[in-house]
Amino acid sequence: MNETLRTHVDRLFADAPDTPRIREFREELLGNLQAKYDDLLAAGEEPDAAVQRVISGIGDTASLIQILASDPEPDNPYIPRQQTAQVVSTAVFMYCAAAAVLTLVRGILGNTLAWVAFWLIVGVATAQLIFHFFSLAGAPAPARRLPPSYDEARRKRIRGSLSSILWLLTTALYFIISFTFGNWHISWIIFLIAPIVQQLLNLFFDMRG
Amino acid sequence: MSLTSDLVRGHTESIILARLMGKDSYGYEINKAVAAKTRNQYELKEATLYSAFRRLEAGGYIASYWGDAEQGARRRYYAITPLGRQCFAESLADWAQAKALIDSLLAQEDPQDPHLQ
Repeated sequence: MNETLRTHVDRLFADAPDTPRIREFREELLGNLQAKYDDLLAAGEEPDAAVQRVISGIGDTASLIQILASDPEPDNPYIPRQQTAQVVSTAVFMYCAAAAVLTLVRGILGNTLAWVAFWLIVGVATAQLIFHFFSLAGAPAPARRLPPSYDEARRKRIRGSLSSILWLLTTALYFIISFTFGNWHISWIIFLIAPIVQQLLNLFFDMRG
Repeated sequence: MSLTSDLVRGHTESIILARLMGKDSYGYEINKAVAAKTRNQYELKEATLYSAFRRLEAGGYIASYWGDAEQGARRRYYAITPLGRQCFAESLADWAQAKALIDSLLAQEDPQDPHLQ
């Protein structure tokens, strides 16, 4: 690592706040400048001239650093949102379909078979959800080393996943209870209980984190 | 040359997207390709390059991740998203249109051309 280069970059960031985002940009910039410097040396340039050339190519980073400092910290750039939306909506559809199958098939095939079909569909939907959210909670696939904010991002992601699962289970439970006991007039209460459970979960995580 | 630089700088985002269409890449590699493609006539300032990365990522046109460099240090790579591909196709069409327009505005009129009389 060239020291003049490092000192120069340090000076650029002297007034910047120490956020994960700024740290990452500093590391990215320094790494790329170093690579350029190495290339110039390999091309036969004198070290001093090479450093000067690299430094003069940087341009004015002040406004960029300022913008980065005020940007919100990203959760994780690698969460494929579309995929999550697809998985969740498919699961919701399957839960609804399960309820529909149960109602329709009960009259034709009898209680047992209808329930078997119901639980099979619910099981597949739930398994798919759990698989999706657990695979998201792992490392972002292409990155082999993890950025410093990784643990934070991971915790946030797991919490988001738990929240989604909780709400889907609540919906599923609402249909199960309502169809089983026919108590539609009161079963909606479950939607009031769910937020309480969610808050308790949040509290639990906050206390542990 | 200063006008040219300004003109090119206005297309920094499209230039980056063009580099990422083929494969994921990192800041210096993209700038190296820009220099090579223009036979060292044009090179992006780091400040311009990383400002454009930030805008593109905030808009969902590219995504970034940390990978390994050859010497063991880690390196931030950028990948184009489906939205980025769409945006790039639109930029290409826009540019073709602007280029044709300016070409025709700057072209010297042919006194023999019956349309201009």
